[in-house]
Amino acid sequence: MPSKPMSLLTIDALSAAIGRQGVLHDINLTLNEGDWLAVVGGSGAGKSTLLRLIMGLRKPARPSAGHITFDGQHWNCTAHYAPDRKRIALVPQSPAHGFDPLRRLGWQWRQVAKRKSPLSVEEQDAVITSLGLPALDESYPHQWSRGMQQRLLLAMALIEQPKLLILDEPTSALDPLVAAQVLGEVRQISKAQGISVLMVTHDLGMAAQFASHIAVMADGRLVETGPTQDLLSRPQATYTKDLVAHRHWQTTSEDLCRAAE
Amino acid sequence: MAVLFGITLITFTISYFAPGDKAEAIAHARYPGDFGIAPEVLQGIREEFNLNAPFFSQYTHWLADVLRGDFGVSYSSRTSVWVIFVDNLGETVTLTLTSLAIGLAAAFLLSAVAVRYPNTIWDRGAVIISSIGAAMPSYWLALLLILGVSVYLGWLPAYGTGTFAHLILPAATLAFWVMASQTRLLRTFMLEAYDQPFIETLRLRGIPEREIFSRHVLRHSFVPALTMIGLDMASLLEGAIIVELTFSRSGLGSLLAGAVLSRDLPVVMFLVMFFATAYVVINSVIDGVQHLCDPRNIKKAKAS
Amino acid sequence: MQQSKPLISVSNLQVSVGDKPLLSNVSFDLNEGEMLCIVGESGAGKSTLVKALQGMMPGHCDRFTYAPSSTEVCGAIPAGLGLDQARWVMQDPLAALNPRQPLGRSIAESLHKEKLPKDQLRKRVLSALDDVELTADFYDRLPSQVSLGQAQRACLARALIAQPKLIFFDEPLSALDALVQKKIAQRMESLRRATTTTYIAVTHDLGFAAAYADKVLLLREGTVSAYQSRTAFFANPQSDYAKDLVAAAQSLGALPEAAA
Repeated sequence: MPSKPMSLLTIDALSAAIGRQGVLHDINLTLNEGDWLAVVGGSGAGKSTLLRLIMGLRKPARPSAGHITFDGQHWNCTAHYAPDRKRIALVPQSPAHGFDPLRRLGWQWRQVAKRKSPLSVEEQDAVITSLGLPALDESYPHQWSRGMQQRLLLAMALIEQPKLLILDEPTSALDPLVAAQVLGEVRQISKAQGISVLMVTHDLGMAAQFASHIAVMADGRLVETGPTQDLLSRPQATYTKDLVAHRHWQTTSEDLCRAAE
Repeated sequence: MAVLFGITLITFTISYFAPGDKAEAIAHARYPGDFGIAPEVLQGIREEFNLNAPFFSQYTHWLADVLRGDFGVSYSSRTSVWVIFVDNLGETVTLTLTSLAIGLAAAFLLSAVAVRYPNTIWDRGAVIISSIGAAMPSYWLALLLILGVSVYLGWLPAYGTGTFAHLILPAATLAFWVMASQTRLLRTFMLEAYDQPFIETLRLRGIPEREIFSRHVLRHSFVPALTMIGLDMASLLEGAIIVELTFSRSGLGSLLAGAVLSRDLPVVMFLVMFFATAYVVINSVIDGVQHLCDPRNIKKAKAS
Repeated sequence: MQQSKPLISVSNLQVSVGDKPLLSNVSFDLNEGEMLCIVGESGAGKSTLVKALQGMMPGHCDRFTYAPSSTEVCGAIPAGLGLDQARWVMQDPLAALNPRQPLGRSIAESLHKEKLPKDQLRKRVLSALDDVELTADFYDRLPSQVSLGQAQRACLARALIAQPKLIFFDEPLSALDALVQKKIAQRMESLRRATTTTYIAVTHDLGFAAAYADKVLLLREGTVSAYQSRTAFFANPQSDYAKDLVAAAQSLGALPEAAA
């Protein structure tokens, strides 16, 4: 008998604005434990804003309404909340987004580890090794290859022992080899350790490969959500249909003709 | 090195082609008074100073002396140029360093505040102040300060050298100029540092704004700021000259002015060379420091 | 089905700055109407390659021919060579367009050598806008008033209006969202087929290459890791690195299921 899925993250009626310009309108979203939810949308759709609000940042977009429930904790977004960011960890887009080039890797590791990791130093080192990375000596970020840097960013997120891992545009700024590697690791780890994943991206094709559920956003609104297969085979909204039709590069001339109509 | 050599050549060429008969200038300096000089005396002077030799010969002789540390003798005072220089150096260095310290500190505070509260009155105010300071000629400000502080209020002496009190107004004038030119730059560098993509991630990780500023933004502003300070050095030295003159302070500035007016060529040439060389040396040092400071210059050690 | 003479052909191109080699032993040729995709990681030398072909970087080759201007170069490629009847489309449309100038003017600039009368020029620009699916009112808009996708289309129009034989693309789609990317890529492709223009596209996106390239040149750290026709590259990559790359792209869903 299948058990009822446990809701890990629930977003209720969330709206936000920058100044007087609305950027999010009445977002309702649920992520259950074990899900991999991809939030898909173009630029200006509001997905990065959503990400920031989940992480607790109230700049530049200020929430005007809504609640967020995470792991049993309830946050009323409009009240002055300083949410406990524990158990949610972010993997940044690329090494340029994740590292200060003027600081040693060890220093930056400790900056995060001290603040947010419940693990002991040995356990933290074990995470590093489990991803196939060498010990953090006196190196600076640019001395490691991009792939290694990105895996280190993943490690930095994992030592927080998160229940929810947030991936910010994992394929935008990385080349395919590195991106594939990291996403593969995340898939493995999330299955093994029961970590749920929230992924923000503009690439539906990639989302379809990894996510169990997809939420489509446009213009600050939620257009459609659902399990991946359902969304791909039976898209309801026009925008979603367009997105699904274009998720791959068109190859044949028939596709070209069809698209031109 | 080539630059330094070029400096000597240019300096010498300029003074060589300076209008007026050098022998006469020397003679007038030696025998002050408004009368004509006998040709034999002029001829004697020419031989004494080797003024009849062709250009290159004079240049090489002079250069050889310079490299040996012999900078010649002042036409007017008959003492070694080097000695005169050293006597006055201290004053100028004191003035310059004090102004630099105060000015940079002020610029730093102003730009830090401007960046912390962007687009507020602090930010706009900082930009306005630095614009005013950049446009204002230093002697105008100096005179203003003299008028206000020394004459009306009588708090500080208006001219002269010697005590700390004498240093305050000149240093303040120069410092204001330093602050003006550096605030805008520092503010820009800090803003650029804030624009870097990893800053947002630090916020998302929960690092407080204060720490982001002190431990990341500052570092990123440091290197470009250093470059600009080095480039500003020349103007600073020039400003020091003007301030020294306005406040009648002793120092290299007034020394240079006096030497130019009395056509005391050895002194002038030496000072010109000194300023140019100082500029080159300071900037080279800054270049070197910069290179060392930026860890991105460390070669890749790890294999992929 | 070889044509008599390739439009552009390069043999053993080397580019070095100081004693640091940026590119070595790069060769390829391309017939009229074909598209070559130059793929590889950042820093592999893709942009360096196309810049060297224009004389913008110090390049040295055994032989470099370009049919439209009957250029033939052996040895050092002259600086500022500037291939005739060739145009560029770059990665960042906002950096490539004069922000103070309406799009119509920017597009018309491409034809300034022809010194056309005003009304004729305007007609050509409107026709170019139409080709890239921008309506006539985009003529007067400023780059800041349009989306990135629309700005990039304007850059494409600017390249096409001159009816060039060859267009260089330097990561033309990477600044754009996935959906916009795909729509513009389609436009580029249908225009290419309609006008038999030759494209050389630098990209890190294998999906794009898999859909549209005739030939693929894979660069790795300045050397050629694979140079094959599109079908051959994706079915049977020449090098291990290429194999890894194709597998990675596949796992990311970048390659259509019916690839190659």
